[in-house]
Amino acid sequence: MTRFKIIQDLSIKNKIIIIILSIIFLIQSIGFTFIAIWDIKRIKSEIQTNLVLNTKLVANNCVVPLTFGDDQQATEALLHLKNIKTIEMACLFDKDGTIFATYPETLNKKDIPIFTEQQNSILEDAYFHIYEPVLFQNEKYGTLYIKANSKPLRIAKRRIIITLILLSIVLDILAIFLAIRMQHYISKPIINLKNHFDKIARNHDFSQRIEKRNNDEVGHLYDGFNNLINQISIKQEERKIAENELHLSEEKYRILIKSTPLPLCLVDNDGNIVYTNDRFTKIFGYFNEDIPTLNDWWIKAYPDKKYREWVLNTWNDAVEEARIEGGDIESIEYTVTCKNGSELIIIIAGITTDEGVLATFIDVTERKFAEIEIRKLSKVFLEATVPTIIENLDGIVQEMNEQAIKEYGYSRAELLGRSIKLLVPEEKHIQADELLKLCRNGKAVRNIEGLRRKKDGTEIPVLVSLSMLTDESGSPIGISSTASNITELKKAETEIKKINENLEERVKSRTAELESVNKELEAFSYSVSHDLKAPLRAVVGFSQILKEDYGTEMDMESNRYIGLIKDNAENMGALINDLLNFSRMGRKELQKSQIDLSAIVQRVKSELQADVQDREISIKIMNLPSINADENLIYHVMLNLMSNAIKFTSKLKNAIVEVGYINQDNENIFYVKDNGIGFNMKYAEKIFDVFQRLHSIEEFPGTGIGLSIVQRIIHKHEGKIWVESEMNIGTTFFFTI
Amino acid sequence: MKTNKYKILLLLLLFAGSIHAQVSEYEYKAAFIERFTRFVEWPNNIESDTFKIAVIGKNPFNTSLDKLFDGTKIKNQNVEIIYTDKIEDLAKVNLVFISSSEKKRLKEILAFTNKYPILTISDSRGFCAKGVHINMYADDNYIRYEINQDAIEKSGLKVSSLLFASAKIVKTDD
Repeated sequence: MTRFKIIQDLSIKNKIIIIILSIIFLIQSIGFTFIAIWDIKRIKSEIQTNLVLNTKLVANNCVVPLTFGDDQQATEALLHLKNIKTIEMACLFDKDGTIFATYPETLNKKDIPIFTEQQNSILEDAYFHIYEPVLFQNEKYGTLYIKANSKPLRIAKRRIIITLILLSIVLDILAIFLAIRMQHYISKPIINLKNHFDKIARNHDFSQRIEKRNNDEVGHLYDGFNNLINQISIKQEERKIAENELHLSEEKYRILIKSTPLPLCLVDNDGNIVYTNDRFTKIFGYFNEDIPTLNDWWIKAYPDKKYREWVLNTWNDAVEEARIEGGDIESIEYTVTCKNGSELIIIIAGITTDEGVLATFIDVTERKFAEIEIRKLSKVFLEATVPTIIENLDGIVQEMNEQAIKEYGYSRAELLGRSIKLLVPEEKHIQADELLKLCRNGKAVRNIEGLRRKKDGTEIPVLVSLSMLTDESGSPIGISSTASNITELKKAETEIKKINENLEERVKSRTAELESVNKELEAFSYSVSHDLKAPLRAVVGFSQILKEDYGTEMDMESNRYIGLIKDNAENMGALINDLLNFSRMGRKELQKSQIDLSAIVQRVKSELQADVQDREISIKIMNLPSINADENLIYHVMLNLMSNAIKFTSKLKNAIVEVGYINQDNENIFYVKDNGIGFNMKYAEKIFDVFQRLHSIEEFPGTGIGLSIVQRIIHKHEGKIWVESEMNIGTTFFFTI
Repeated sequence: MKTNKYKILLLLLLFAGSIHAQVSEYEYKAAFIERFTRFVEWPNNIESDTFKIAVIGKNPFNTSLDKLFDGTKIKNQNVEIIYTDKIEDLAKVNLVFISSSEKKRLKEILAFTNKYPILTISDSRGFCAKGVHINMYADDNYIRYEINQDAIEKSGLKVSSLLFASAKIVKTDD
């Protein structure tokens, strides 16, 4: 069978084609061979019969010549054979076997075969040899021999073979064509099935069905296949549903475990930590990746080696015991170190399973600390230096500290179960009840002056504070009462009172002194303004006259000096004015009103018109909000800042001065911005100091007081002022009101 | 001479067993007469155990006929030869050789023989056209013969077509 392996591996389509073709070739070969043999035989016998017939006819014509010994006639008779082209030679023997006549007449005698009594016609060496007796009325007169070539037979043979080969080729082509066409009827449904199968295998899509086209075995196969796919599909659907349910269930439990508010940790028998839930990570900070094995956990959670050994032994014993007895792992308290280094007190318990151990963790740190805290607090309570008594809501003493015993002279037993009033003098009992009531009603009772009576009857002044004690739910369960001894405090207070009385008197006298000084100062200022300004005006005035009247008579140098005198005197006048303003500002009360800042700025701008007349300067003024401020002072501020801006841009060609505001955090920040020469920001604070100048007076004239006044005005309005500047870029003053 | 050789050869053929030193023309013709009878069928009503040949007129055969038919049978019958001048003698014969001497009364003879199934043979020129069945003549050293087909068809004799094929066919002159 191995030689048919190639055929076995072929596709059904090709198999069918090959089978059909093989059968056709075989039948065709056998059939055509038979046809050829039969046909050639038939033609051979036809030719032979024909030759014999012709020989007989000629032999008949030879009867008379033989009878009468007429060789001439015999030769003529033989000449009839020339009509038959295949006859190459003929010879007439008489009854003794002697040659009587030949065809052709000139035939060489050597070529004539020796006469025999042979009667059969034979085909030999591609020649027909025919011996025909010359008979007349049953008497033999001689024998006619004819030799004819078999050329027609050869031609016929060739013709048959060529015809059959051509026919074979045509038939084979037809067969191949038909086989290829017809194989569809068998192979196509099978290939369809296969393709369908492949498709399902590829897509795992069992919803598709193959369409049945014919009712043969393949059709039944289709039905079977569809049925099978149907079954699979149903089974798959069922499985899907089951899987889905399982998945949902798993998901439910997974979430349950994941988000359960109890830290959980699953350890397999090889010591791998296979699962930790969210709460575990939340509490300890460790993710499962941080502690892939139990060993990692030991090292991280118990960094102290000695403690770790103890934990290891304790835990392993507990697990071992649980395994043997089949119960839970014993709950034991451990101190666990979290990822962030903090320590937690944890009760670790768990269960053992076939797969490993499920450990549960209960964080008792807070509880522990609360215990400690309580312990500490009770210590504080007990050892406090202030006598403290805990009473119930009705004022019955429940507990007290050492200091109370020491201070009041009663023993603990004497005080327990007694009303707090034991310690209060009778005249203060009402007060004590009221305070108790206040405290019960949730009002704070803090440092209320009261009295405490000792066992020996002495009374001591105290500051009583009551606090409500509540349980976890906030319900009152008692009252804590502290009474600090203020005997010493009382004494001190009396002294302070005395001192204070003196002090008031002294302040009054001082104020009066100060007021008179203030008035003097004001008067002084006024006189300065008058008395200093008058001589200055004289200096200025006379310098002016001198220059106008005698300027032409004096030389250049003298004129310059007079100019300098005048300028300096004017400068001094301005300085005095500013100084007066500055000092006045300190005392003047603000006269606040709602003012339109835009209007003020416009006024300032028109005031400064003279300074910018010959300059290329653009003054941009935003629409500004109204503010609550002293109008005159704010005018002064804007005048100062804007004239500064104009002044320090005087050397620029395209000066820009901008007045505006920005709203930041609901606060309006106003600003005056220029693109002038600017200054180094390290002088930003200094610039507001009196007489501080950053530029020479020659370069930019001024008294050096303006910004100090501005700052003072802003501060008086409880505003802020600051500056931002950069050399050769510009300066911006910001202020708030 | 090639032809002569053939003649001798032919004679050897014809007269195997009775070889003569000389072969004359009429010995050939006698042999021819014997050969003719092979191709002719006489009607069955002639009931006789001998085949009668008559020579009318002057006998040109001399003894050739007698010699030839001495022991040679025609149609398995012994041959009886008569030589006569009387036309009446021809009544019972099968074959008549009309001698050239009978030219004048040829019509008379034929009128008589035509009543019977008698094969008439001659070797005289023009006889065939007058109604003789077979007339022999010499041609280039060969003896040839002519046949009057009409006369034979009227005579009631049956002559093989093979004989016609190798003869010259002559029609009766009217």
